[in-house]
Amino acid sequence: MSDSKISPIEALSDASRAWGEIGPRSDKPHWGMAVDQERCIGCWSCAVICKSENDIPLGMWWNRILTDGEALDQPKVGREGGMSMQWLPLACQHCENAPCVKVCPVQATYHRSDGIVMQDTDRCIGCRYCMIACPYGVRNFNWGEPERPTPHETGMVDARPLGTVEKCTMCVQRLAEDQKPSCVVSCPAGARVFGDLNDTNGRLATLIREREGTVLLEEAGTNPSVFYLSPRRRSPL
Amino acid sequence: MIVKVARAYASAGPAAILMGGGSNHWFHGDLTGRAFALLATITGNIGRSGGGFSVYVGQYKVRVDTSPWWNPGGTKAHVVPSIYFVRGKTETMNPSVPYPKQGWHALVCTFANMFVQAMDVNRLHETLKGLDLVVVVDHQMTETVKWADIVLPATTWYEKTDLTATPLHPFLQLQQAAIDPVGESRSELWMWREIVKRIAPDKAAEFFEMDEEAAIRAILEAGNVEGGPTEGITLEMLREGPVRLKVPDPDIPFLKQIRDLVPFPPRSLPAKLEQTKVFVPTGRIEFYKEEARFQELDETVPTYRPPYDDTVHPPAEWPLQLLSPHSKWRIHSSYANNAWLNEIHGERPEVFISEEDAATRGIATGDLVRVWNTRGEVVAWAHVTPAEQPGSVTLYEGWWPRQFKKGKGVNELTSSVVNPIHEVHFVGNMWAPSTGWKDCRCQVEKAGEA
Repeated sequence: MSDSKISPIEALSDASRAWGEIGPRSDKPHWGMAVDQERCIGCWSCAVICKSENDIPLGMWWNRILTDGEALDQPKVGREGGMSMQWLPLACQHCENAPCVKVCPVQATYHRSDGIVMQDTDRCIGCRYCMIACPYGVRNFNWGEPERPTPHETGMVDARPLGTVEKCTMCVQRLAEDQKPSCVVSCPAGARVFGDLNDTNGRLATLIREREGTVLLEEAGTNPSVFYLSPRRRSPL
Repeated sequence: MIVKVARAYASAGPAAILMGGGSNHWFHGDLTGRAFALLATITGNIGRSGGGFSVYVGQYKVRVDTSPWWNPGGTKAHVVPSIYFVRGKTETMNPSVPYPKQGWHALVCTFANMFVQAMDVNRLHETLKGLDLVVVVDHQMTETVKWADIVLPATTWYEKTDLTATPLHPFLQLQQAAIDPVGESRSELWMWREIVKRIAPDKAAEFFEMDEEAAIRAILEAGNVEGGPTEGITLEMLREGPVRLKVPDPDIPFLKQIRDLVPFPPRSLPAKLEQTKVFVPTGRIEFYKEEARFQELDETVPTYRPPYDDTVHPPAEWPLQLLSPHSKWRIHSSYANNAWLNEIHGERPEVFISEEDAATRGIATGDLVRVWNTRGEVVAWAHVTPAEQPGSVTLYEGWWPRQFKKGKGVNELTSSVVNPIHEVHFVGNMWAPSTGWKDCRCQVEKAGEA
């Protein structure tokens, strides 16, 4: 974290801090997440706080919400002619077998020992091989000087320089303070569960097992650390 | 589907009806409300846990008594429904509405963006012509600010002290200024105090000699009695962080709700019988309303009435019903200028139109379309979608005029007509004129390529 920025976590009350704590983990954590599509209401709160927390310029999103529908907030014609809509929050999947890591010629994209895929903007030469290799389309390139709604930088991390690639880091700056990523704490519907995938009896692993969590583009063999829990919708009529 | 819903509602055990803006934003919304109440009654869903009939509105209640500060010396505010400001006095207006004897001469607008959000906004501009003075208090350059003779720059919530409470949890919080007011901005309380000092120094001494902290102390002190909600709570404690009010939480434990059928939460219970006896003289559920105007208009029992705007805009000529619901990425017109939210929202107002209605008009997604009726017109961008019913179009309320290609916003088209049934009585916020935001016909045509 930049020396010039003060961690907002320090200002939190004990109760708020406790709410954001990561909780139990194994001896060797592999951080992951489950996104519950049954709970997601497509509000984009997680995407907006991500922009704020990580100082993401206008025109770029590390985290966005795809609509399985006709448009942003418009349902599509679903089964039996009824309307249907659900959401797919999408950010870096932190793959164990990450194509972006493989193709980077300068090792600017690398794995941390806790499973998180990181981007070293000092090493990045802006070749964008990683953007082509990533099957999820979650990497952003700084084509120009960053534009912001105000002259102020936001969040807890340094802005990235022109000509480099950036993406979700699972808020490593927060993990360092034992706090969950900002998208997880901000979700008003509790649709994101963060934790240690190696903690096999922990909440995250149990939820993925019980709800039969799936990964995006399993056939790509990327082994993501982000799982999706499908809605179990019932019709009252 | 209607038969299915009716059967499920009447037979599936306790069933609740929540009435929202889609059903009550109509000239005859009162009939819909009465019909819902009647349904709940004849199916035995009144007084039954899990049943009932509730109106879905925002949270306007707090768990502490603010009256010592709001109503010093037992004073009472004169409240006139804003529709009478837009439209002027109606012939059928209830005599107990405190409408100013001299009519409207000045507007002081605060915590509001009236020139975007008022109904029938072109009619509001007629009222504006008759005013001597318009003062607007805001911290954003809204459309309303642009019409002001005098603008008083307000502080944002980051620059002032306030007290935060909600019925949704039992904590009281002090909103503490993070920075000093920027530029010439001041808190609203400071403005009122200084204005009153200049107009009526005696009143200032009596009621306004307090800053935010003093007002908060007065509110805390009012509840600082044995068993009171703020017993033992001081401003100094609030400065350290949220303080739990001395109220039970939940107000009514779940067991009591289901075993003893004690409804939750008590502060949302209907008004006391003494308050409602003006319009419910029997003190019982009145299926039949026998006041003269109900008889004249043949509305003694809930009945069907076509939308009122059909009489202004006959459906044959004005075939589309204009709906203007809330957007998910604003609170009414607040945050319509927030760059991040606008990125989500696509930066520009869209008119959602069905595939059928778009096809007959040669409209494709992205085309500029003109939406108009006899009250006004806007030009925005079409979005053809299977989610829109043929015969209706949707344009979210809250977009600012500058975001349209042309026009002042969706409320150019909405109506300010007052239903005389709503004027039979006048009890503020309980029986008063409402606005038929959705009772609005229009026509749509292609206005050119985008």
